[in-house]
Amino acid sequence: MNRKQISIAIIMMFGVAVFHFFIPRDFLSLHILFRLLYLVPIAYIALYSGRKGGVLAAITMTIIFLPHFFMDRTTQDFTAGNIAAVILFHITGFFVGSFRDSSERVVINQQQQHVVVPSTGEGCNILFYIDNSPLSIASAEWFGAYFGGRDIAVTLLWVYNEDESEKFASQEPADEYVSQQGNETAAFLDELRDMLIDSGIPRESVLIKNVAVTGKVPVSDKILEELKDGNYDLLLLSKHQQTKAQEFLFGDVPIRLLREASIPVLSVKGTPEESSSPS
Amino acid sequence: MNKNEVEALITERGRKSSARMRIVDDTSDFMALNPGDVMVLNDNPYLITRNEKESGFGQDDDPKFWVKRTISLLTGEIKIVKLVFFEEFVQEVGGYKIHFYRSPIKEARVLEAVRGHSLFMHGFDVNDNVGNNVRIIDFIRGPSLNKLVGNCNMSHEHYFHSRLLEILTGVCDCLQSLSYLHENGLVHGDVRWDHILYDRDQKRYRWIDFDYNYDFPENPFGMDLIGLGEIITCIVGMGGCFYSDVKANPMFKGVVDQLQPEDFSILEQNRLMNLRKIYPYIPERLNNVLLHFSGYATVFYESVDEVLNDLRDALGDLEGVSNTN
Ligand SMILES: Nc1ncnc2c1ncn2[C@@H]1O[C@H](COP(=O)(O)OP(=O)(O)OP(=O)(O)O)[C@@H](O)[C@H]1O
Repeated sequence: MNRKQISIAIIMMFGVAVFHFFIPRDFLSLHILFRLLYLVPIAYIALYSGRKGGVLAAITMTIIFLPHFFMDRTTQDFTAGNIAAVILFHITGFFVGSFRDSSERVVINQQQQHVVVPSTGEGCNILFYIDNSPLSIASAEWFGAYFGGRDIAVTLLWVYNEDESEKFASQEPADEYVSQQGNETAAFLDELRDMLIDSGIPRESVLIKNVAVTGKVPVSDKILEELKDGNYDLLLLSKHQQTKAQEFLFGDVPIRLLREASIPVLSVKGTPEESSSPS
Repeated sequence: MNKNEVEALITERGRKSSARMRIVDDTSDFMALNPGDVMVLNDNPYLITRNEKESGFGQDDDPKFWVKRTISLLTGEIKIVKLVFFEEFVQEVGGYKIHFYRSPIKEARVLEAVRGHSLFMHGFDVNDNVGNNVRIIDFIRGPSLNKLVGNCNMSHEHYFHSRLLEILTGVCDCLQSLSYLHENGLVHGDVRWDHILYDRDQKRYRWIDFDYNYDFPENPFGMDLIGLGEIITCIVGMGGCFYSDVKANPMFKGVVDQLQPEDFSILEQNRLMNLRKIYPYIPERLNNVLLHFSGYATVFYESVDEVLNDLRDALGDLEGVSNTN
């Protein structure tokens, strides 16, 4: 649990306890209601910290609740209700906490299972993000040399902006620019595709995918979306050499993807010449 | 709209029409449009009263002939009318050449997106008779942030104790509102402190000037964030602190030699970010926000909210040191 969650839990625990403490004895139904409200902080803590935390929260709430056994000189039924409430505290803490622990395990398991890539690379489905720099060509060459001749599938992903009107005085030259860029990129992608086919990857397994962006969206968002939608085993991309200032200014696609992609990421690092920045 | 009708409206507004008055509905040649001329846009006549200048950079600034201050002759309201001046230019930022665009279409899109958002200037776009995209903007009465701070005639230490908290607190919401643009896939484009005006009527800070654009595919809001860092540094430092200023100031004689390259902006190597070195009373947390934009930074802010969360936390430390005397 982080600091904020701990503070919320403490506020809830003491909030319920203090309000309950000051309810006049005659308001029986309010007492019953507040008895149930003790469950809220217990469930909250269990949900964020697991079984141990849940049980600990239940014990703490029981101690806080204890004075009510002695203060309320009420019927036997009411005391039985108090005992039932205490049991409920512990059941809640235990089960909600266990649920949280097991779901966390499932997620970790899933992530670990995903990391197991067939050792030969056979049957792998690879997403190859292309920017229009010479480094993409170098990366394709490098990849072909290592993985060529295998039965793998590669999708070449190209992300482009379909609305460039804000870079031009009017719509016409903007559309012209987009279409010219499209033609140049198509030729570039074909070249890369041929390189991979020449390295022995089956022709029908090398695909080209163009993804259009409108508005200001980081390229890495689009790659992450594609990873989510497609069933890929590995992400391949080029890592341009950047200074700290460049990284600050322009961002860095591989760094973001290394942080956020849920599958293995293979980044091919370039020399400064190859890294001549993508546009 | 004929000349007599326009002249009648001008008289109605308590003004005299000039003998050389031109009435135009094609605004392409904005250099030729002078105070006293009238632009008719969408059947609304606008009387030009002056060409605007960059706010707060002295009186000698060249006028911006494409930004006209006008009076709407139908309503009597003051309007800023921005005419089409598309520009593409390269500017060096941190030693890197960046393409910038001055795009009317982009400004029109932002105006549309911020309609009803009180922390931005308001307006709309119309096409003139030949299809130029003209933006008609409500005039904001009040000084720009740089003028407001620049007018504090006092020592930095006095400013720090008496004004800083109030100014920073006031401007926080305005700075944070940039994230509204970003969430909508838009950038401000020219985040500078002279593009924030203090609206005296509404008593709040508001953004102006949305026509700049840049294109960083992976870090689309990068320049906005850098601008944000600069603005916060300028507010905290009571203006930009450059190496030459520090060196020339006898007060900092003992400090100059202790300055390291990392104390300066990661992009502008002569802009001091580690202000605590020259103003040691600046609290650490506030200074740390600035250091995220300095050579010391190892992790960078990725969103406006991240900057503002830290800034708002840091404001807590100023509460103790402020007095309003
Ligand atoms: N809404 C407004 N209310 C009051 N004054 C304004 C407003 N918009 C612009 N101005 C004034 O006009 C000046 C120029 O406007 P603006 O900065 O929008 O023009 P620009 O040509 O886009 O500038 P830049 O070259 O900085 O991009 C501003 O510095 C300011 O003084």
